[in-house]
Amino acid sequence: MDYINNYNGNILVVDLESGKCDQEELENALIEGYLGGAAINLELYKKYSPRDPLIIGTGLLTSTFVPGSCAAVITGKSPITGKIANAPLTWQTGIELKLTGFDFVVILGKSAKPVKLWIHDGLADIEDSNEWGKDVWETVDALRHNYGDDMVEAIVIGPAGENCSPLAQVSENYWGSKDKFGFGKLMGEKKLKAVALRGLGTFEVADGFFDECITLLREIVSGVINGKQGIGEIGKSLKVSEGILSVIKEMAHRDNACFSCPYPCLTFLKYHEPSKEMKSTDVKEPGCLITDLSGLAAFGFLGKDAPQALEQCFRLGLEPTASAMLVEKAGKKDLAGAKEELEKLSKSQGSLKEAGLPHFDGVSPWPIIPSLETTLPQASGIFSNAVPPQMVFVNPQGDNPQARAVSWLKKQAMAYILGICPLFTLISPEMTEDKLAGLVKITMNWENFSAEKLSGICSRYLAEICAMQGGAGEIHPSLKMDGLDAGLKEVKESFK
Amino acid sequence: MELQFDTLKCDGCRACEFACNYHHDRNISPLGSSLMYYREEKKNYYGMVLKREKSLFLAKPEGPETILPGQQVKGGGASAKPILLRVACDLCKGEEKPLCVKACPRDVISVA
Repeated sequence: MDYINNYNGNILVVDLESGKCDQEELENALIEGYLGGAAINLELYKKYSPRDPLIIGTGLLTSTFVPGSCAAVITGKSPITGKIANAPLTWQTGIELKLTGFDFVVILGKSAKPVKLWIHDGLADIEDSNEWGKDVWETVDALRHNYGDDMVEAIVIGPAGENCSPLAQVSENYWGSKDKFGFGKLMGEKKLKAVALRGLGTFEVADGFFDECITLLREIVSGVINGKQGIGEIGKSLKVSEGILSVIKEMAHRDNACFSCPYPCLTFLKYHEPSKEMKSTDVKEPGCLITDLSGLAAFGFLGKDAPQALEQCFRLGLEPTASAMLVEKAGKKDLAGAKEELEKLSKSQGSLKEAGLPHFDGVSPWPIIPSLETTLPQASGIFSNAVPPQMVFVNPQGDNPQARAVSWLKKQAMAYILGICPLFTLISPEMTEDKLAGLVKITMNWENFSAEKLSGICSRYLAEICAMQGGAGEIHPSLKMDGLDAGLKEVKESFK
Repeated sequence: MELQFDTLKCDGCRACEFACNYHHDRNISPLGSSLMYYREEKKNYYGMVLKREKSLFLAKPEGPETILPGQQVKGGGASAKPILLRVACDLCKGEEKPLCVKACPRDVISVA
């Protein structure tokens, strides 16, 4: 790699069968043609496809001063849909990966025994996992104790992943993730318990880049997010149930932001000590960070116990929305019954499809009132359903549902390729192709780079992944509506 | 004149930490920063530590605290320790205003 800015220039290739790690160069052609994130992940996926790769990649702008530049992307064949899919890693995971000295990690094959991957300071080690058998919270604690650093970021699986449940989700530290495609099961099949990251590395950005990012930041904070914070505001915008919104309001402790993000969307709810307690007390586990509004809302039938059910999903490494739907179907109406059922789900091969519950090719739907506009993005099956299938706080962009779905998909593609939080791009209308292309142009010293080029790369990526996927797959009859089939065709045709 | 923190407004985005490093080293990294994010994650207890010339300033959620040489840092676990090795805040000498102040999206940091 000749470029000196934004990337380390390294791809880590981990072969779980041989137990060896190799390093490849991140070549100029990949960066120039695909920029990064999901688009380079797809190229790496194609290169290594016979080995069932699981790829974790950072974007061109991940871990920079660009607002919302926290994201990395997991790409692999979803064990749920059987198709290539993407899930974002947000909070501190993406930046920690880039600061390890590796921009992309390709994980190949299956290990014969439980292992963990320890990536730090330009080094990578495959180690035996004595965390196998522990839940997610115990695993994160053990990893940090083992490596002697509370700032280790971890991508882990819990019992659900170990048992190869289709409901298994990878977890970022303790709090689940935006994985709705069963990548937790894929890690379980690979016998990969955890990827632990600690990076104290360094990379360059261009002169002038910082100031341009601050200009964009100031525009954003004085825009639609001004005066807003927390997951409750997002829930209000999406019209999730009043019951859940009042639970959030009652238990809210502090809101957290992902790296470099102006909107703190992660709200910590306290239920084992007063919610406004700001000191570090003897209560070691006072509550839960709400990273998944869809999952919390799906547990709305448990009322004030919904956050504790979500916590149990996080501990077991279960995808919360699908799990909540299955718990409700099993007739469990209180926390004790729900926890018992979740324990069973973490050991079962049950799924939404099998249970006859609403799903998009097996993936859980958002628990909001469906419309063609919100159904088309979810049915496309390319990007995680953890992100709302519509704009938040602002009016949708486009004259009709198909145009709005195209706009949503292009925004997601841009976010997943550049390393921007895909939720933040739906919150902040200031994050335009024009502005982001301008930042890419500055930091890469690409004089001819433009919004049109960025748009073209996103469209080409979408066209390719749509072609590889074939179609939307099975959609539960309850989610079908007039215009869906034609709309999906129109959306996919628009990227050609 | 020193940096001041409205601690409860902080949401832990770490933009200030990386902006500070950029002032000192002109690159992206947390290592050269005078500011460091610390946390007890399961308790949602987090804040920033600032290395000043002759003290450490802890922007703790329950209120700020200054640690003088010889005093023990409490809280923050192992994540609060390496700050002792960092370069001290110089209020971004040569800049129109400190880069952490510019980069903070929530106006947590001010100079007073």
